[in-house]
Amino acid sequence: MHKITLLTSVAVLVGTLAAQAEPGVTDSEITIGNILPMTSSAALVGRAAHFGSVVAAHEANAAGGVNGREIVIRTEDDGYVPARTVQNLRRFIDEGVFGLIGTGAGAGTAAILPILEEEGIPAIVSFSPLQAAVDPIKPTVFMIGASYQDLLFAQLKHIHDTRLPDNPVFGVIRQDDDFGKQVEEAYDRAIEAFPNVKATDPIRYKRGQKDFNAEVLKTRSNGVNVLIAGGVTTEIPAILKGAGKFKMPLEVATVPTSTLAPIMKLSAPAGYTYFSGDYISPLGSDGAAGFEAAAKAALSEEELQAINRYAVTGYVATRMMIEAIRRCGDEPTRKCAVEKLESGEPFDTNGVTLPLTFEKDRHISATAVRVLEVDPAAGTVTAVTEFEEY
Amino acid sequence: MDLFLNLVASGLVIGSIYGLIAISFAIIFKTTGVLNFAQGEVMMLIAYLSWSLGTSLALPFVALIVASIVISVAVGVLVERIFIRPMIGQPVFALVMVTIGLAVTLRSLTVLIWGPDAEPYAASIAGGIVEIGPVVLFSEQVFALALFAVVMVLVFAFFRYTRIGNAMRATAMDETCALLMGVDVRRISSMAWAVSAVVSGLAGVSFAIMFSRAPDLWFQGLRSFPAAILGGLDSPIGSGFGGLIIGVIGDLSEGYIGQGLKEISGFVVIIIVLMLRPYGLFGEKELERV
Repeated sequence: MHKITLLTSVAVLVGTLAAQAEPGVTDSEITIGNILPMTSSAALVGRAAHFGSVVAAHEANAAGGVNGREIVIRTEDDGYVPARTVQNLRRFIDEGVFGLIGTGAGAGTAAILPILEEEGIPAIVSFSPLQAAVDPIKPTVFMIGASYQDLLFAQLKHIHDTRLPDNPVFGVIRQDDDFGKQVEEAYDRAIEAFPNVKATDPIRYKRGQKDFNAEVLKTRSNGVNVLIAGGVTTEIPAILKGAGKFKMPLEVATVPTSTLAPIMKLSAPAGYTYFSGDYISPLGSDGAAGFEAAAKAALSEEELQAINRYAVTGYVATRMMIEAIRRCGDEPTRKCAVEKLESGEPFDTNGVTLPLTFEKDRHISATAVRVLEVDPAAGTVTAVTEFEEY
Repeated sequence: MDLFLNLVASGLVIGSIYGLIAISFAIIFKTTGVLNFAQGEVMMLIAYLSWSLGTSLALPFVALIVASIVISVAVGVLVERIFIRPMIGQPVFALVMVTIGLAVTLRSLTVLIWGPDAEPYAASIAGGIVEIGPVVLFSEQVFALALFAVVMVLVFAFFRYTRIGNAMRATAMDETCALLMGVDVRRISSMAWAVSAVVSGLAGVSFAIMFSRAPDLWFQGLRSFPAAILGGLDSPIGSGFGGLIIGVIGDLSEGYIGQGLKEISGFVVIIIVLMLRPYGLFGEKELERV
C-alpha cells in the first residue's frame, strides 16, 4: 500500500514538475511576451503593437480564457536598440514566457533569431517583417506580413508601370542596419527587374540621423526622380522636406509607417504625395471593423488614440498564437503550439485578412501587398492596386 | 559648384546647431569644471516647454523666443539648485553621475508628459525659401545661422566685457582665489547653468522648428559633444566653431564620398586635431607649475 502511495506521489510530482517546466504556463495563466520599442522614435509603432496584443488577450480572456487559463501579455521596452532586444529575451527566458509576438525592430529580430531557435520559443514576427526570419525556415519562428522587399518592390513596380518619369533615375536613402538592408534589397530587385531605368548608388545613413540635407543634395545632383525614402519614422518627412526645398520632381516609395497620422502630419509641408504598401485592411475599413470593436472593449480612450496599423498586425499575430495554444488543449507545450501553427489549418483573423495559414515548409503568411497612395496634406490614404503577390 | 555651395550651406546650418549645444557644454565646463551629460536633455525639455507655450498661446515668434529664454533661465537655475549645488565639494565622478541620472530622468519625464509621438513645431518663420545665388535655404535654416552668429557675439562679449562674465572667468581660473576676491561662486555657478540652458534651449527650439519636436531630440546633445572637444571644452567660442567645422566636414564628406562618412569624418578630424593640439583648437593649454 505504502509502495503504491509512494509511486502515485512520485507520478504526481513528476507530472506537476513537467507542467511547471513549460515556460510561461501556470495553472491559471499563460504569458505571451512582446519586446517592442516603447520609447525612442519608434515608440509610435511599438506602443501600438503592444496594444494590439492587449486587445487580442482581452478578447480571449473575455471569452473565458484559453482552456481555463488567462492570457497575460508582458511587454518589455527595447528602446529600438538591438542589444536590448537580446537582453529582454534573455530576461524572458529566465522568468518564463510561453511565446513571443513582438520581436523588436528589424535589427533586433535578426539579433534574437538564433536564440529563439536554440530555446525553441514559438514566435510570430509581425512588427517588422524580416525575410531572414523565415528564409531559411526556423523551426519555431513564423511571420505574418510581406517583407519590406515586397512592400517596396510593389511600389516601385507600380511607379514603373503607371507613373514612370522621362529618363527615370532610381535612388535610395536607407538606414545602415538590417532594416535598411531589406530596403536596399527591394531597390536591387527593382533595378534588376526594370533594365530601362538608371540606378544610382544607395545612400546609407546612421540610425538616429535627423538632418538629410546632404543626402538629398546628392540624390539631386545624381538626377534621381524615383526615390525610396527608406526612413523608419521621422526620417521620412525629413527626407521629403529636404527634397521639397529644391522642388525636386519625385515619385517616392516608403515603408508602411508613412501612413501613420503623425508622420503624415510632419510630411505634409513638403508638398509631396508618396506611395506606401500594406498587407492588411486599413483602420476605418470594413475589414478592420472587428478589430476596432474589440479594441474599444479592451482599451481606454487614451490608449485608443495610440492605435494604428501596427496594433492591427500585433492583434492578428497574438490572436494566432492564442488560437494555436487553445488547439493544444489542457496541457499546452511550445512544441504543440508550433505543430498547430504549421498544421496548415486556417486561423481566423476577425476579418482583418483572409484566414491565414502556415505550413511546415512555409512559415510566412499574409504576403499579398496592396500599393497605397498617401496625400499627407489631405490626410488621405488611397489604395491604388488590389492585393497582389510580388 | 552648385552642389559644393549647397553642401557647405547645409553643413553650416546643422553645424550651427551643434555649435550652440557645444557652447553650452563649454560654458558650464569652463565655469564650474562640470561636464554636463544632461545637456541634450535640458535642450529637449526647453524645446518641449517652448512648443507647448507656442501651441497653446499662439504667441508671435519674437515673443515665443523671449518666453523660451525666460523658461531656459528658470530650467537652468532649477537644475543647478536642485541637482548640482548639493553636490558641490563632492568628487567630480559623483557630479558626472548626477548629470547622467538627470539625463535619464529628463528623457523619461518628457515622454511621460508629452508622449512618444513627434509633432511639428509650427513657427511663423518656418517654411519660407531663401535663395542666395545657387544656395537654397529654408527661412528656419537662416534663423539657425543668424541665431548662431548672435549667440557667438553675445557669448564673446559676455565673457570679455561684463562683470559677471569676468567673474565666471576668474572662477574658472581659480575658484578659491575668486572666492577670496569677493566673487559669489555659488551665484556664478547658477548663472553659468542659466546661460548654458538659454544657449542650448534656443538650439533645441531652432532644431525642432527645422525638423520636429520629438523625444529623441536629446540625441543632438551627444552629437554635439565632439564639437566641444574639437573646439576646446574650456572655450565656448572655440566650441561654437568646432560645431561648424564638424557640420561642414560631415556634409561635404557625405556629398562627395558617402558610405556613411558623415558620421565618421568629424571624428577623424577630432583625432587629428587632438593629436596636434590635445586641448582642442581653441582650448587653453593647462600649465602645471612645480
